[in-house]
Amino acid sequence: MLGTASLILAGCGATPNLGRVPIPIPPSDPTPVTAEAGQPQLVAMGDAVRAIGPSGGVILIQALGPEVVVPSPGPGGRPPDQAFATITIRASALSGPPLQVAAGDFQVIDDLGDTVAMTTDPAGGPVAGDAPVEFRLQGTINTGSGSLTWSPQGSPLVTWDFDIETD
Amino acid sequence: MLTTSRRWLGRRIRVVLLALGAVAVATTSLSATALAFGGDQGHGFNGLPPIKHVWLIILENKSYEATFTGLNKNSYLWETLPSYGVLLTQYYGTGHFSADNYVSMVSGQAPTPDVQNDCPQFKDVSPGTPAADGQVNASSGCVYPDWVQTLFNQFDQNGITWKAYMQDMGNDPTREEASDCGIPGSPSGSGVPDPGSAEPASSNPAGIADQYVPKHNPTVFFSSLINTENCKDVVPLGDGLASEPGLAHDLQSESTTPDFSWITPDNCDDAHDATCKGSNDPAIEPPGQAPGDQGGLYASDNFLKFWIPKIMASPAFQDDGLIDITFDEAFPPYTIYGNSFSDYGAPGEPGNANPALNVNTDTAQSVVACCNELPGPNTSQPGDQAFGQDTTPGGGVTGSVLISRYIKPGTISEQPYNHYSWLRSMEDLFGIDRGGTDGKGHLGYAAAPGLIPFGADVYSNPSGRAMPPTPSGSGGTFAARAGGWPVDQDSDHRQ
Repeated sequence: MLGTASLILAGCGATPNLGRVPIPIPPSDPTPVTAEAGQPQLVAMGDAVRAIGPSGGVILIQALGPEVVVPSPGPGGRPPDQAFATITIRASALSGPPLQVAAGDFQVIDDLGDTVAMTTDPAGGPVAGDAPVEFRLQGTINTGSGSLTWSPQGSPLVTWDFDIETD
Repeated sequence: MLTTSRRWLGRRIRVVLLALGAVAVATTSLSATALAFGGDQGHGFNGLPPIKHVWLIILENKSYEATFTGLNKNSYLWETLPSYGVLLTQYYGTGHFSADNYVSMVSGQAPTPDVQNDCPQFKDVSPGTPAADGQVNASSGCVYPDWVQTLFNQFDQNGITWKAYMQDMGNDPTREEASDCGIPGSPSGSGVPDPGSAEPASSNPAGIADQYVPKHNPTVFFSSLINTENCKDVVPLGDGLASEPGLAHDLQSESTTPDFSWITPDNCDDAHDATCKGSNDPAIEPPGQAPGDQGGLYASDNFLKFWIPKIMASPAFQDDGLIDITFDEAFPPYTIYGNSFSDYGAPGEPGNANPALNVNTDTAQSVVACCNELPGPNTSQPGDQAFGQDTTPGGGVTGSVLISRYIKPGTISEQPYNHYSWLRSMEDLFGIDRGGTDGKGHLGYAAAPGLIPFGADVYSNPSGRAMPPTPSGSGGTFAARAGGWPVDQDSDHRQ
C-alpha cells in the first residue's frame, strides 16, 4: 500500500520524461528561382529571380518595396483607399550577353485588376558585366494586393506579388 | 514582480490530495488512478492539455494565400513551422482594419467605427454604455471604459501571470508612454490625434527608428488596463523596462516566464510595412537602424527565425508550452476561398446595391467570416467594406500555426475559427470558468452560444510525448465538422 502510494505521489509530483520538443532550425536563404521563356515565375515582392533572356543572357533581377507614403486618414478617419508607392528594380548580370531591363517593360496591376500608370526614374537599361541597373517605378495604387510583371520583348517572365497597406 | 501562479500550485495540490484519497481504494482502482495521474504530466481543465505557458505572436495583414501557399519564398513560417505543429487553414480575422481585431481578440468586443479606422483620434468611447451580449455602445472613440474586461484582467483575477511585449515601444519617448502601456497620451476629452505610424530615425529626437504603433497594442484600448499597475506588464520586447525585463530575460527560467505572453513585433517585423522605416533584423538593437529594409513576410520570417528557437528552447516551453502565430486580418488576395466575380453588375445581373462597388474584380463573394460572427451594435459591416467588397462580415482568412508538445506535428485543421474562438480557447485553456458575459468565463462574443474553441483537432497529441517534425499535412488532416472536435471531457480538478 505504501509502495503504491509512493507510485501515485511520484506520478503526481514528478514530471515524466516526455522527451525534448525539437526546435525548428531556420532554413538557409532560398535559392533564386529561374525564369525563362515558357517558364515564367510568380514570386513575392522582394524575391530575387534568375532570369534567362532570349539571347542567353542571365541576370539576377529583384523588385523591392513598395515604399508607401501613407496620406492622412480619409473621410470619417478611414484609412485611405490609395497610396503613392515606389517600387525599386535592381538587376545585375550573371553571365552571357547583355539583357535589357527597361522600365517600359514593367506593368503594375492593382487589387481591382486595373493597370496603374507608373512613372520611372530613370528608365532602365542593358544589364551586362559589372554594370548593374537600378531604377524606380512610382505611382498611386489602390490598397490591397497588386502585382508587378516584367515582360521583356512583350513576354511575361516574372511577376511579383505585393500589398499596398494604408492602415 | 512575477510570481508563481497560485492557480497552478493549487491544481497540483488538489491532484495530490485526490491521489492520496485513492490510496484507500481497492487495488484495481489504484492502478487505474496511477495511470491517470502518472501516465502524463497531469490533466488540464475539462480534458484540455495541461499547457501552462502560451506565447501569442501576432503578425499583420496577410491572407492565407499570401502566406501559406508557396507564393511566399520566405519559408520558415509557411513551410518549416507547420511541420512542427498544426496549421489552421480556416482561421479568420474578425474585422478591418487592424485595431478592431486586436480589441476583439482580448475582449470579445465587436468592431466600432473608430476602431475599424485604427483609432484616428485616441479618445474614450462614447457613449460607452452597455449593450446586449456584453458589448459596448460606441459610436465614437476607441478607449473602452474601465468596466470592460479583457483577457488580461481575467488573468489577474485568476492568478495567471502575463506580459505583453511590444517591439520598439518607447524608442521615441515623446510619441508613446512606455511606462503606461504604450499609450500615445491621455484619451480623456478630445484625446490624441493620429496616434502614430512607424517612424524613421530621422524623425525621432532620440535618433533611432521607432516602428512601434499603438494600434497593434491591444492594451491601449482599455481603461481597465491603462493608467493602472497592469501597465508594468506591458514592456518593450527586447530590453523591457527598468522595472520589468523583456522577453530574452524572461525566457531564462520557468519561474521568470509569464504564463501568457502576448508579442507584437514592430511595424516592420510583423510583415505590415513592405518597406521598413528601420531595420528588419530583430537582432539589431538601436542605434544604427537604416530605413529601406525589405519588410513584409521577409521581415516577419527574420523575426520568427530569431525568436521561435529561443522560445522553444526555454524551460517553460519545453515543459508545457504553446506557441500561436497568427495574423490580425487578411488583405487580398482572396483567391482560394471563394473569390467570385458573380457580384459584378454585368448585364442581366443585379450587381451590388451600391453601383460604385461594381468593379471588374469584385471580391464580394469572398469568404471573409466564419463561426456565425455577429456584427455587434456599432457597425453592420465588421470588415468595413474594405477592398471594394460590399458585404464584409469579418476580416478574411489568415491561417494560423500552433506548436506544442500536445500538438501532433504536421497536422492540418480545416475547422473554422476566428478571434472570438481564440479568446474562448485561451479562457478555457487557463481554466477561467466564472464571470464574463455568460457567467462561464467568456467575454463578449467569445461567449456566443455554440462558438467552438480549439479542440482535439488542435490538441492532437494528448500524451505530450515529443514527436519529430513532419511535412505539413502528413500528420493528418482534420476536416471541418459541425460542433467541432471536442476533447474528451475529464474530471474537473478545480475547486
